[in-house]
Amino acid sequence: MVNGGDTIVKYEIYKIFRNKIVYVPIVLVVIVVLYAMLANGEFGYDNCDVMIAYSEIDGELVNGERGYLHNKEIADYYKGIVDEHYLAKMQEAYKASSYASMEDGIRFYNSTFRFFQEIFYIQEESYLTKNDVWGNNTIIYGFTGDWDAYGNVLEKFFQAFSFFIIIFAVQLFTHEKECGMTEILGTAKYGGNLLLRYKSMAAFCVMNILMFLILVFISLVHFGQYGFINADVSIQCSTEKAMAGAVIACNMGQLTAWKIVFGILGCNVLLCVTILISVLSESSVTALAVAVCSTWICSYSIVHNLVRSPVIDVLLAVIPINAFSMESLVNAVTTQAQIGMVSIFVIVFAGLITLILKNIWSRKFFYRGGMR
Amino acid sequence: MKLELKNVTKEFTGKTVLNGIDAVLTNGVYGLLGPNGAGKSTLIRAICNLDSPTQGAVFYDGEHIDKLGAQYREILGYVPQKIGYYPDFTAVEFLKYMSILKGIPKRYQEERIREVLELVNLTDTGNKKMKHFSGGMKQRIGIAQAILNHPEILILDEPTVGLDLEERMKFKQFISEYSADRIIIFATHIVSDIEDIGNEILILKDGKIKVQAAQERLLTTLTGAVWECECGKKEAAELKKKYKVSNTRVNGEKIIVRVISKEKPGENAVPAEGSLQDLYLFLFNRET
Repeated sequence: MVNGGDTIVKYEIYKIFRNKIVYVPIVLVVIVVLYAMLANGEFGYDNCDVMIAYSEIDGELVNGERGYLHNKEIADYYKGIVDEHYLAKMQEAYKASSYASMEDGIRFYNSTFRFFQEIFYIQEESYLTKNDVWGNNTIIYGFTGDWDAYGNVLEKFFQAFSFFIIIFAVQLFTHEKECGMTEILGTAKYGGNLLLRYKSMAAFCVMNILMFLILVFISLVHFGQYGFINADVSIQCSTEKAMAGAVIACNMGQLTAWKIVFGILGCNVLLCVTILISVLSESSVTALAVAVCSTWICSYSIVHNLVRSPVIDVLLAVIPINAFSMESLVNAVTTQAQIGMVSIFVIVFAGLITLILKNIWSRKFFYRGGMR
Repeated sequence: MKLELKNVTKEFTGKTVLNGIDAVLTNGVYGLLGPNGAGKSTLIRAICNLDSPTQGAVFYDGEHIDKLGAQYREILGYVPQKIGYYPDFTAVEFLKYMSILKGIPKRYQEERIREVLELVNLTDTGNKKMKHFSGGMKQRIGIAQAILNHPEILILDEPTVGLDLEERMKFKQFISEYSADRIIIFATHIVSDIEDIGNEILILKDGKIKVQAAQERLLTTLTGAVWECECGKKEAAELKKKYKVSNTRVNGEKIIVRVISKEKPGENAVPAEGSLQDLYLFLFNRET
């Protein structure tokens, strides 16, 4: 950094917060985070019905007057709730359980698989006790209100935060153009590429510091309430379908760490892309529309699996919104090879962005001339 | 201190806007005159290193300005045609930001900001948001930011637009005093702006410097070419049809017509002293 560069970065940060529009997404992010935290485990569990069925059956078997259930009764509990795809994944996971080193996960597969066998493969009608259904092991339904809740709050935070990034970063350079400042800035000592660098540095500082503070807040509240219990429980015990069906040796603590790493990476990649859009656009409205649309298209194509191929999977894995999705996160960390490819892609992408930032954008687009 | 333009050529999609401009500028005020579309702003952008010439280059003390980069920008002050500003910033905040970008040490910033605000007569409005500024005030803040760093090269693109008569006179006086050991390039189409202060005049036409000379020397070329005729309405109308007329004024029943012509336009015509405006008209065959 040149002499006085830190002062420029500080003043650029001051300029960012002088813009009142920036406070709107910050407030929204805080509201989303608080809502997700207060809603806790009830927020967004797509297979909580299955969990309810488990707990009801368990309740009847353990606490009910009879202490047993007819297999038709159990089948009724499941009627209309059991997802074929989920079942298939369970069976697949069970077969491949040698990959899942965590004891809880294997136990969960064993008991679940036995349970399905009892219900769907034993033709004759019979009364089943707790032991018949679950085996001798205690089934773990998941971690609602614990790690799952923490992960869920993180997901919601990163999704909301991505919109904060877009809103504050699209204005970084378009605002200068709209104010007619490019020529004046271009002739200042620290104008040209230097200013481009300092503005970007200020944006990265603002985003990462804010992200860090909110993450610390979420974590302090969560761990203050629940502590670190169950951090070493395998992800197959989770209430989330994507995790419960995943064939991977990974525990809840590791997965949460991955989620935070991917979220931070995703936010930084999104900021790079948004800065690029801001440099290329002439007005904030255009830049905002392009940024929101492109992010939405990426997330939509991921959610609906519109395009799939090994290369696209890797590319999609580092698209910011994808990084904030539990399902895609699990997909991304399924094999070590993918982790390696994702890491390489992130490094190459960051290098490319730096190169563009340093040599191309400023000359061709921001100053529309030959600034050095 | 020497600013040298060597074969500066700029083309935009096949159209040549600047055509092999050569000039050497040393201390003093240079009036850059030319009609709209002559290439004044393009030339200024090239000198400011905001735009790279298609051919040729600009050198400062023998060094290519591209190579000098921040070193060159450190001694540069620029007032663009259209002044940019941050509407939500006060004048002081804006100048603070510009002084940071211009690399002025922190300990001198406040003092320098106070000085320039006083100079452009904005001391009382320094803490007012710029969105409430009038056109003239914005123009003055543009001038203030350009001189913050005591530039050795000051480039002014139509700087007097929006200034009232008093401000304009004050500004011209300031430029005159400020030019002692600096290169000042003053681009304008208002000839009277540089009449009193321009040591040297550069007249740009069709992307080429048509004339570059000291103002006094240029005006000698008009010797015997400027005439004043006192005549009636009918004769005045005929003179306007036949000759280039730079000015007419009513004097009682008579009209005094100022004619640019190599030959004596009439019996009652008397020779007059040529002005820069007359020269401009003489060269461009148009009224200013």
